[in-house]
Amino acid sequence: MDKERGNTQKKRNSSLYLPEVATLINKREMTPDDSFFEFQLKNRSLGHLPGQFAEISVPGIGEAPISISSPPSKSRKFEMVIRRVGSVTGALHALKVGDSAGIRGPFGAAFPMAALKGRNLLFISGGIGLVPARSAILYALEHRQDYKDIIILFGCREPAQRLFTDALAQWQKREDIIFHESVDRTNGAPWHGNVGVITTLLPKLGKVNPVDTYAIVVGPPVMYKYVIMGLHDMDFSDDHIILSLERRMKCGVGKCGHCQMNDKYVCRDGPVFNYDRIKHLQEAI
Amino acid sequence: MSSKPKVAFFDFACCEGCQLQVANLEEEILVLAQMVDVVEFREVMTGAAPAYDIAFIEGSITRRADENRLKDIRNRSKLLVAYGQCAVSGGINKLKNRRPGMDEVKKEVYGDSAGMPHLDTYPTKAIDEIVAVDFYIPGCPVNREEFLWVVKELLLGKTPRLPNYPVCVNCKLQENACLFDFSIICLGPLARAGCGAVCPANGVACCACRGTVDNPNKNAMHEILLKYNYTVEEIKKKFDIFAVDPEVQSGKK
Amino acid sequence: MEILKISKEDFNSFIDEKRTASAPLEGPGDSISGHAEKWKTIGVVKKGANFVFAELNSAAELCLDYDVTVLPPKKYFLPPKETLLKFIPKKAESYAAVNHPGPIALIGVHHYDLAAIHLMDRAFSEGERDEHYMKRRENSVLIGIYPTKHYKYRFSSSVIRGQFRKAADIMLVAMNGFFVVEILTEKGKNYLQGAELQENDFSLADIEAAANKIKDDQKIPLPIELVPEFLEKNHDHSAWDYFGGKCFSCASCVLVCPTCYCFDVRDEVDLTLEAGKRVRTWDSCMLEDFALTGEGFNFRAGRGARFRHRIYRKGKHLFEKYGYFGCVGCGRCAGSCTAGIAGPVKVLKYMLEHKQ
Repeated sequence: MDKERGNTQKKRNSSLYLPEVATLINKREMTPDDSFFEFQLKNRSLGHLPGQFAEISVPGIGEAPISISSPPSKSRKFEMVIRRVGSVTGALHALKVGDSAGIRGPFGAAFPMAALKGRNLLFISGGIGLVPARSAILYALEHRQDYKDIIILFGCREPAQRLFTDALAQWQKREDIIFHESVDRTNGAPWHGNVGVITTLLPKLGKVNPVDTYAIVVGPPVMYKYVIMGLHDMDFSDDHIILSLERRMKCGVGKCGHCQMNDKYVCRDGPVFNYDRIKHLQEAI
Repeated sequence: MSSKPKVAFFDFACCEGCQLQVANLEEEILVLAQMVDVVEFREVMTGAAPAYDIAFIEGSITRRADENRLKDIRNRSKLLVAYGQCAVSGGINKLKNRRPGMDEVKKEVYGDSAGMPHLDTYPTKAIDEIVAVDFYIPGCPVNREEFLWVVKELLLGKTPRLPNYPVCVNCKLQENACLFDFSIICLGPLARAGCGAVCPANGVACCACRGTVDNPNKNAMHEILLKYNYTVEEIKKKFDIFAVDPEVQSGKK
Repeated sequence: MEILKISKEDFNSFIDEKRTASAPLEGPGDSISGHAEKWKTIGVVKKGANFVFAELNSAAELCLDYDVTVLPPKKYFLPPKETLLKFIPKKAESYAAVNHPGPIALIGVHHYDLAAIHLMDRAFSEGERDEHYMKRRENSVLIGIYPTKHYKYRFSSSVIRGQFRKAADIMLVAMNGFFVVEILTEKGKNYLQGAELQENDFSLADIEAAANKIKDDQKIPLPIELVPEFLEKNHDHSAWDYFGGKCFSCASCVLVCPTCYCFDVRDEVDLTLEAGKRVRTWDSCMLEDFALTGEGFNFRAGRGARFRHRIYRKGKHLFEKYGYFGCVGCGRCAGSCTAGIAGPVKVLKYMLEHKQ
């Protein structure tokens, strides 16, 4: 299953590190640490594909790689969810609607949505992994007729860390998709759903045809090993498992070396990989 | 920080060399004075204020009375920065802790006057042994550039993160001759960079006055010591100068 | 292109003339401002007991009879610290690229360093072209020289082929008070205009012998073509724990390496907070925090894993990507390693002797 590429970064003759201006047009808090951001470019659409990322920057603070959470669009708008983990993300959280940020991208290989046409899709998203996965999920839902069964599994540490709660509620209600979610622990919050790590949702699916289904897996580094084991138990072959990996992606163009994983640059060769193409890489999972 | 942050400088047991570094910033100090509101700084001005956005603490704690003064400053400060190695680890002052008792220490220094009440002293403590410290600026003395960098990071709302790589990086970038090539034992491979390698650049071995990197490879150092016929005790003495314990990860970054 | 010769005295006076002359507006030296700029002339000079590349104040400082320089000449194309962008803090509209290197001439670059520059040229031109590096390269003239002095850690003859000639504009061979001058590019030819070049009367056999007179003591213990597969099979070799246990993670090996180009990018601001710049600095995969993400995951936390990554980049990844062995055999890493473990010859020998 070949990966797809969107328009790569707008050609810049002076410097490939020169960002464009993106204006913050909408922002809201999702969890104490995660906020939703909607940006707008001046005179073009971002031209991204599901699963790609961009480098967002605040001059004076620095630049950070952030997944794009909205589906591909012809509009000049795009969405992100940013977790506050350091100085750059902290400065982004301090932005107000109307403020601007720098953006470079989109970068990286995307989920192969076109090639997956006519197949069942099994989305498995852990925590903030829902952010890049959402781009693909919304794309699939916009093109619902192109896919057979769509299954979405979401897990996070505790109820307070659930992202896109409106979307989760809608997915729960939709008849044309299968949706399950779980939290690792309730942590005292009112919660009537499943409790347990995300792999405990897999048995709930019953029989899934592993030949006609592709799993799209995005989550924290520790999650992959266990989800892959679970998928193997369900007779998924490695080429039917598609992963999006996290690394320190600094330059976005396969030069600075920080995201390297064996011989692969995650920013350029990934972040989306077919598991069968990387399972031999010792530094991958 | 929207309006100009109130900044204060305090000193405890030290040579005041670090505040001299700040006072000697020359042109930058004029800009600094525009960017922040310096409300207390004994070496350069008179005056006092009830509360501070940033308190810079120099020196180590060597008397019980100083603990209360320090706690009071902490209570009135939003951010507290330990600057200079005395504040960060106890520094040179901590050498006395290796003696059997404070009476002996006082006698050695003050002779017959050792009993005078103002010479009251107890084993030296670093600032974070008394109060919580938000940021550290290590070194003996502090590096002016690094001091300014920390100020700028704080003004921008960033979290200053000290270099977590050894002094060898500073040396290589300056193309200094490696002192090991002359069989001089240098603590550079374990010591935290950021000083610009001023000592090795002038032919003097690094004494790790800025402490070690987060995770120094002690085993590697042991092998080098064997190669150059040094004992672990001899090298520990070098680390003792600035009260750096390579056996524990400093976590002061 | 052509082979000529020049006396060493004439060469030095030409260099001094050139230092004060302006570069032509077309080609190298064509700066954004449009003003003719002086040739910045870099050469090998003595620093204490070592040699370094530095700007020449006089051709008399030039020491072309040298073993190795502390840092390779990459510092002129990928500076240890360079400004990529300027901005006004927190105003994204203010980002502006900074990129107007003046013309430079580098004199006395050994063939292995030229091979390394050729590899860097590939890395920075392929895919998304890095104009900061490439403009500096375009505005430079490289005058290479075959080594005339022995260096005990050098093993370049076992790892480089003729690729160094692709980076060089001019190659010099030192012979009896003369330099035989081989002009390899139009750029090199233009640079030498006005030099007291003479007809070459040395025989090609003599030139060849002089160019290759310095023999390496060391060599990679297996043919380079076999190294990628050998490494692939030995990912879990005991060597990584062994060397990891001895490694300080001080990054000396990487900083002095002519083919290491990993970098970090960060912002610096004036104390007034009214102006700032985004700077690129050298970084190193040997340092503990190199693969640490903002969320706190460290994907190469172990010393052994970092040590392995460096060797794999040289012997496998870059080789497979660009077709050139990623190490040019300069021996600087071996010479600068306090623990005495960094040299690829030593590492590969250990791996062969301690087969799992």
